Amino acid sequence: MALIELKNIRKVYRQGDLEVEVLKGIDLTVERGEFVSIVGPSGSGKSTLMYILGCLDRPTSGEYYLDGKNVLKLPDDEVSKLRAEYIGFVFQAFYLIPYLTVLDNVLLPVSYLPKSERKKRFADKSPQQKAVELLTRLGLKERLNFKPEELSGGQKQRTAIARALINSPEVILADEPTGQLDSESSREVMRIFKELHSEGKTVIVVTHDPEVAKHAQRIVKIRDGRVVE
Amino acid sequence: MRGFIFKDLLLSLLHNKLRTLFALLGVLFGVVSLVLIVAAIEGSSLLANRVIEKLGPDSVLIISGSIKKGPRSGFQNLTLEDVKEIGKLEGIFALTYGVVKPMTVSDVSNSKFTSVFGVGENWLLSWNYRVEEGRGFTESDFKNLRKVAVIGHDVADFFWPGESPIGKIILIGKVPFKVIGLYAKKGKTPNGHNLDDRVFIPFPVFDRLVEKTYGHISIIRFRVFNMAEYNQIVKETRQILLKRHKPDEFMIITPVVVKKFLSMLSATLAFFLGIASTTALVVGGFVLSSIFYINIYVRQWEIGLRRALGATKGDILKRFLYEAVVIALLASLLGNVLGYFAIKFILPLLNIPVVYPVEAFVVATLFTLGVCLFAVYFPARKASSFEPVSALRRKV
Repeated sequence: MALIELKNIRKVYRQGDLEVEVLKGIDLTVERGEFVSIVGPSGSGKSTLMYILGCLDRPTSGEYYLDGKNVLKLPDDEVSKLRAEYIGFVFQAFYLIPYLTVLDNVLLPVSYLPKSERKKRFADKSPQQKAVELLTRLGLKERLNFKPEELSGGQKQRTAIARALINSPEVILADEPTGQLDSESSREVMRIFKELHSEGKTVIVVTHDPEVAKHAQRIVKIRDGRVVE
Repeated sequence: MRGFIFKDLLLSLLHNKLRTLFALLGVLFGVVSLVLIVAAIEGSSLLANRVIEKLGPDSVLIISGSIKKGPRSGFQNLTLEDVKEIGKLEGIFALTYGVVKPMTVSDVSNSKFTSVFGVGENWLLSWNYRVEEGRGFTESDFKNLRKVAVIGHDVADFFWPGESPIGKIILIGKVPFKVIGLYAKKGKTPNGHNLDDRVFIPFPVFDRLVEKTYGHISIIRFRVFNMAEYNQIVKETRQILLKRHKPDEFMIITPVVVKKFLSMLSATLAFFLGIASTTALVVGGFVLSSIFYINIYVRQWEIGLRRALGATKGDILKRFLYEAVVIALLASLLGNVLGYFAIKFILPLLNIPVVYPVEAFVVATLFTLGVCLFAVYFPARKASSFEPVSALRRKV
C-alpha cells in the first residue's frame, strides 16, 4: 500500500463570481521512502497541492489516502492528529516562534502529539534528548538557547527541519525550503533532505527551482493545475 | 509536557508585553472596585452592629428633631414633663435625659472647645460610663444644685496633663465647677464622635447657670427589662409623646430603626459602587476582548503554524483561554493587593470600619476570572476557526 495516494484531486477557489480551478484532477502516488519533488511555475497550483498533501487544506473533490486512511472523510480533530503524527512541515519563511528558543521551537510539535503516541515515540529518549540530538546533527549544538532572530537563514531552516523531524513523522513536506536561503545554505538543506531520504524517510519538496528539484529521486511537474510529467 | 505548554504560554505573554499590560490594566480597576465594594458592604453591616451594641439592644432613645440633624443640633423639643410621664411606664429602667451644648470651657490659663452635657441622674449608669477616678453624681448633687462635673480623659489631659483632675476647678461659661469624677476612656462612636471629649454636669445646674432651657431637653433614654415587651413599650412611649408633641418634633431611635437606616445607607453605597465596579469590569472585558481580537490577527501565522504542527481547534481555543486565565489571575493578584490598600485608605474616608473580608478577595478573583474567560472566549473561538492555510499565508 502506497503511503500517499491522491485520486482526481480538484480544487476550486471562488472569488466573488469568479471560479478559479487551481487543481484540475491530480493523481499522485508516493511510496514510502521516496524522495519526490513537485515543480512548477508560480500559479501552477503546486502550493495548493502541498497543503492538500499536508492535510492543511481540503480539495473540492477527489480522494486522499494517507497510510490507507481516507483523510477527507475524517473529522477536523482527527486530521489535526494525523498532521502531528505523519507530517513534518518545512516552510519557505521558516515560521519559527520568535519567543521560543531554538530547542523549544523544536519541541513544540511534541505538545500536539496525542499522549499515547507521545509515549510510544519517546519511549527510549525524552523529547529533550531527541531534540538536542537532532540539533547537534544539524550543526546547531551551540545554538540551543538562541532565539530565532539570532540565527542566520540557514540556521533557521535547519531548526525548522529539526522541528519537522522531532515527532518521527512518515513524511517530510517542504514548501520552497530554499526560497529564502543563499546558494550555500540551499545546498546544505538539500544535502540534509538527501541524507534523510537515504535513511528511509519519505521526502516531498515543492519548488519552482529546477536546480533544487533535480536532487530528488522523482520529479513531478505541475502546470496549470495538472501533472504534466 | 504540561510544563512545556505552560512555558510556551508564559513566554508568549511576556513577548507581547504591551498587550498583556493593557489587558491587565483594563481588568485591574474592576477587581479593585469589587474588592472595595464587598469590603464596604461588610464594613457597613459591622458598623450597624457596633452602633446597636453601643446603643444597647434593650435601649430606647428619644431625641429632639430628626435623625438627620441629630441631638447636637440644639433641638430641645422634649421636656422634663415627658420624662416624668415616661417614668410611669412599667418594665423600664435606667431612665435618664440630657441636653447638650457645644461650648468653651476653661481654667485659669487655658480654654477648650468641648461638649457640655446637662444630664439626668442615671446618665452615667444608663450609658455605661465607668467612673475611673473620683465619684459619679449623687441624688444630693441634684437636690443641692452642686456645681460639680464628671469629665472625660481628653478634657482632663488638656487642662491638667499628668495630674489628677479631681478637685480641680473649671469654668463653664463664667461659672466655676468642681471636677468630681473622671470616666474611663470610651474611644469614638462608630460615627466618629469623640466620647472622651465631654463634660457632664447635673441638668438642674445646667438649666439654671449655664443655659436657660426652661426644662427643655434634647435626649431621653431608658432601657427595657423584658425584650418581649419592647415593642409594646415603644408604642406606649410614642403615644405619651404624641399627647404633647407633633410627630416631627421627636424621633424614637431603636436598634431596629438604626439598623434600617444604616442598611439603607449601605444599600445605596452598594448600589453605586456596584454600578461602578460592574462598569469597570465590563469595560475591562471589552478592552480584553478587543486586544485579543487584534492579537489573534497579528499572530495569525502562528496559529496556522500550530495547526500545521498538529494543534486541533480545541488546542487553539484552550491556549487563548489559558492566556485569559493567566491575565485574570495576574489582574486579581494585583487588584487584590491594590484593593487591600483601597480598603485601608478609602473606607475610613467613608466612615466605614476597615475590614478585610476573605469573601471580597475571593469574589473579586472569581468574578474577574469569569469576565476574562467570557471576554476572551469569542476571539479565541475566532482564532480556532482560522483556516490553517490562509492563516499561514499571513506571515508579517
